[in-house]
Amino acid sequence: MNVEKEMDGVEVKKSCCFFCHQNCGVLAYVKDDKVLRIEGDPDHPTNSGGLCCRGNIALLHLDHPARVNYPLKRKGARGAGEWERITWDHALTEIATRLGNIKEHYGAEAVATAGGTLRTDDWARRRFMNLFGSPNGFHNSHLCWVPTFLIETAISGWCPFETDLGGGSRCLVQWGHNPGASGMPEMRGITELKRQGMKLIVIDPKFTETAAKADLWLPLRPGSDAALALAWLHVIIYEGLYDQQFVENWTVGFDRLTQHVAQYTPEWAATLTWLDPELIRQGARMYAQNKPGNIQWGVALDQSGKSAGAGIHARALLRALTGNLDAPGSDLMTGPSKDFITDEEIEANDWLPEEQRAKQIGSDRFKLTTWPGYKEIADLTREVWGKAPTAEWMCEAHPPSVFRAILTEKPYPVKALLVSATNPVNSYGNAKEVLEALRKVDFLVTCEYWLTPTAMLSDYVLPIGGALERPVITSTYGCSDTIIGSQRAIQPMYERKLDYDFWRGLGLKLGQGDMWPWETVEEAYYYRIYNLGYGVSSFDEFVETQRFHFPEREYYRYGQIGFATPSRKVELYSTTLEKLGYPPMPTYISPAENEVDDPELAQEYPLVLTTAGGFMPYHHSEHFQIKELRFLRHEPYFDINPVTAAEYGIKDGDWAWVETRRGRIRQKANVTEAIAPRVVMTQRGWWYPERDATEPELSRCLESNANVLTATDDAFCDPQGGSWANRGLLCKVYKAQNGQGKADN
Amino acid sequence: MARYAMVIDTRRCIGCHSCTVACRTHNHLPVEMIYNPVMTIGPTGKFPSLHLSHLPLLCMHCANPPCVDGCPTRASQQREDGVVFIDQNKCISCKTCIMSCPYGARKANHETGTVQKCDFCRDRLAEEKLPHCVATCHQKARIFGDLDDPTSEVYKLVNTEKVTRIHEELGTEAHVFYIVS
Amino acid sequence: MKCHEDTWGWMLAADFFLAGMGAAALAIAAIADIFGAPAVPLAVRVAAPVLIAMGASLLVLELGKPFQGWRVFLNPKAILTFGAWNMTLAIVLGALKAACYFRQIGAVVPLLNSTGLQNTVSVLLLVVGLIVSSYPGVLLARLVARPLWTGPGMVVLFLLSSLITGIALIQLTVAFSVSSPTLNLRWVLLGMVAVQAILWPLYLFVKRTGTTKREADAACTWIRGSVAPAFWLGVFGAGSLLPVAVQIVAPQCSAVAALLCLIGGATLRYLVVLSGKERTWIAGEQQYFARLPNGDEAFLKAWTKR
Repeated sequence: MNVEKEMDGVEVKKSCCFFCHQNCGVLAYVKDDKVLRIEGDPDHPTNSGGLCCRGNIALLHLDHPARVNYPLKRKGARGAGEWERITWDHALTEIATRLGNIKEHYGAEAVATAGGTLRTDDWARRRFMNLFGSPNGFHNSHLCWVPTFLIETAISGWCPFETDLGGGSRCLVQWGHNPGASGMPEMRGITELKRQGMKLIVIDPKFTETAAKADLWLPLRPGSDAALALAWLHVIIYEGLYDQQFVENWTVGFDRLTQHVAQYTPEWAATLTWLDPELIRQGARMYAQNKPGNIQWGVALDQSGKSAGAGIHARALLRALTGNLDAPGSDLMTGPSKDFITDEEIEANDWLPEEQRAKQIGSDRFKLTTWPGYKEIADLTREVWGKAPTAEWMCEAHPPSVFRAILTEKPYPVKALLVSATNPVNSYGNAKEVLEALRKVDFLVTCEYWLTPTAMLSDYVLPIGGALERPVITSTYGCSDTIIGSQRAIQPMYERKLDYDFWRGLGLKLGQGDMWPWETVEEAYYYRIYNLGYGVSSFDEFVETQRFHFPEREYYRYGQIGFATPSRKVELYSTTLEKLGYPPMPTYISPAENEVDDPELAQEYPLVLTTAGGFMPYHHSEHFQIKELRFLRHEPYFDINPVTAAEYGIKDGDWAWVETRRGRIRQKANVTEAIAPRVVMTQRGWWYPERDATEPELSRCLESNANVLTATDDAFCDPQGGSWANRGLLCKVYKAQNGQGKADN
Repeated sequence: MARYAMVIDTRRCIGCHSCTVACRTHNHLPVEMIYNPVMTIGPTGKFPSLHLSHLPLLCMHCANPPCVDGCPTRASQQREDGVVFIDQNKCISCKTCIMSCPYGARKANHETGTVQKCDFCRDRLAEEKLPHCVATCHQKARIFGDLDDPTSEVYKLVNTEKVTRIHEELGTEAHVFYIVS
Repeated sequence: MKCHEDTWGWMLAADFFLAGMGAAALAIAAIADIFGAPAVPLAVRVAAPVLIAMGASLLVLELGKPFQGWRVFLNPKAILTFGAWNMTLAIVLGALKAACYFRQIGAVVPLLNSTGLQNTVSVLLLVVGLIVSSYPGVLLARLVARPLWTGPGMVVLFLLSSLITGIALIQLTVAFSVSSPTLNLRWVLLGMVAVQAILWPLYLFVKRTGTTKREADAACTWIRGSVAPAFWLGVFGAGSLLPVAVQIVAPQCSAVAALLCLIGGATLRYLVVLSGKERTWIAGEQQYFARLPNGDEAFLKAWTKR
């Protein structure tokens, strides 16, 4: 209809989408510093020209009327929405002064930072925090990959997250992951390989888009993954399906593990997972007998709360038992890159003194994902790989504990929260508690695209540029050896800057000048890729001429260097975890709230809740303001089985309340056979940016927010990593009466 | 002369709606206008024996289009290559074509006072580019090309796979074919 | 802002009713004139072209670009073009014929007094009148996308409805007319209404049992679904059976009977056009569209471009 004709003076920039971790390549057509149009980059290895819902609306996002474009300083009451426009320089000066004061009176540890997922140069944030002296940076790491990474690294020396499907995989297990609704390029890979005969096993309470293409679907009770994984271990060992050679030569602790899992029979697991024992066996056999095979990581286990570590641990051992580690077509431990400067190397972790590290909130209880565990594991990886995983993400304060420190001043007061690329009330567990903390914290600064509820409550809001306005390095935080670069299409619009500029700016004001020699992100990135040896003179040149660095795949590297564990073998009996005070072998822990341990609770809350995964066209809490996307799915829906719906008199499309001990939310009923009768699955991320953004409405951020339901008290958290419980909770459902509007904000 | 056609492989389609969004965004459609909705069929069956599929719809660019001859202003036209389009200068939105289309492909635009629909992105075809919905699909579930060209992907698929058309019984001779599992 | 599929609405139904009634009246008047029967009242002759013009105006108003309505005359292959030409002719010729009966006009335009002209016009009016009475039925019958409409039946039913309402218009005018002799089509009207009362249930029965599933579903909506009360009570009852009963029981109340027929006819047209919302739905469509916004949601208006 109206494709812009290319004119003279149009440059093509190799940018990226940046709206999710797949980070597809985007070609931006730019003239006079204006992006005329975008399209998927056909030469980009991730997406080959494809773009999902989110990538396609890049230009609608870029200059959306609701974007924050100027630094704002609060005048008037918190959340009143009265702002004064100030310059970046003034903002940074004032913020730095305030942080300096807080450091003086309460210690650097009284300053915490909250992050989101992707969209930021997290190494820069960590660099600032280390130099400032605070150990209390955090993301949603506990919910996303980090416990998995650390446990798997503890066991086999590096997390084997590189699924080498293209190397001839015969079986892929999607464990709590639905690429069909969240990771399009990934799904494409699966589709192609299925056509070549690869088996697909999907473990998911819901019959998702991915489950619909599976050879085997295991609809387990949400939160019962630990039981399933332990039963699989049992089957693989006791039916002799393990790789004898690999186990003999490259693992320690097999005999102890064998004895340990004797009790975890499929029959035992059946009552806990609600799966037929034969189905459990079928799954284990399919994985073990179709080699090479892969277990794709998904967030479900990380989000299980108190049973997260146990489940992750059990799942991790499956690869070792079947020899699916570092073999062609299986799960590879690429290790950190030898060639480019990883995140960890540029985080200035050495600058954080021991006594400050010891103050990291949560490190007294949840050792795995804080300094004690991270240090133990990082030292080991340094011995074998020469480098450590990124500390940003892998070594962080425990978010619920930080929010509680704001509220209770225990273990000590936290007086400032710097928020970047997240809306914590939406994305962190126990939303009501988070909101309380955001309202109470003395000093709140937010770097954002939008005036989210968190931004609304802030003392300063800094406007940040998005994908087309910034360069990007895609490298899995330096935990893999590949790197893809993308360049910015235009300079940030209006007075937006990048999060890097924020951290560096603050650093300069606080006397960290020497440690920030790179004036722009491109300079910092150039520094990082310099050693790749492509002879380029700038990061842009790297993107324009090379774009990516994919080293030759090496297999069986452990043959040369061993596994980065104390024994240099895969530790089926993990001495590292034991040293940290955790079970050295995966030991069953029941879901955070369950009907077996707490039948009284189950009387009042008879249904099992999972607060579910991503769905198009959104990403977490993003894009609800893009009306072109919102049009396709404008209201929240939760899934409920027809039998259960009938029991509660709920019809398809009815508004209903879903309630747990923590609170209740309102979503519409999607009556579907896709889940079991006793399971309810809410959508996450919902807020209403079209509503009044000021207090007390705050864009109705609690009304349909699944995190109102989730549980973050210590009792619900995984003792190893601190993951709080988003899945496998107990809830009840009832129809909303007419006129029942908002939940309590 | 080419005869454009599309094959949609529903075995690959996962109902992500990216094609819907790409089309409406890059064609600058009014927010309520959708040229190519993607239907979700199911899950059918009873838990846990279920089946789920998706059905992207669009203008079928029929060989026997019910919408063209009925247009009183001659705004609705079909090119030799099969593309059915609407001349926006001639259309006065009498909606006869909307009433004629068994696929619901045509949409009234209340701002312009005309009717609009998918035209296989004919501007892009002129530049030898694929329609937006085809280019954007990660799953490569949409295959587009010249049905008269024996070397084209669409030709091969239509002649080797089991393809079906929607509303075959109405005799529209749709030129969008579906591969169903 | 509308967010669901656009279909024809009440304006089209009103046009079918008004134009059908007016055109049928012209045709009947023409028959009476040609065969030397008692003439229709002058009021009918004047009203008929006006009614058709009112219908045409509604058609133009329904357009997205009313000021470009002239474009509908341009495609000889299209039924709508055919209909537009014939409606125009019916209005012009009908007005011309009516003008012949005004001595004042006849004095100024002597041509109008020529019997030759008047006879020609009558014949033309018969043809054009019948065409305008029935072409909408053809239009609807050919739309394979609309399950209730598709198939030959609608041609007959629409022509019948036009004739009924045209005759009813004449009867109503006759009842209040003082001049004589008057054309009395009382029994013709009742006969046709009785036929209508038989044909419609039969049409629905055939749709329900002898065609495709979608057509059967559409018919079911009329037989015992959402349309049923309005159809059975309004069209079948009040619009068909009741006029017959009234005419038999109280023969002097022919005006009432005629009025009932008109109400029935208008209701019928409206229900038929409304049924056009039902399309040959494809699997999953209705659920998809049901979940889309209505158009009044806050998010659609919250952010306007700078």
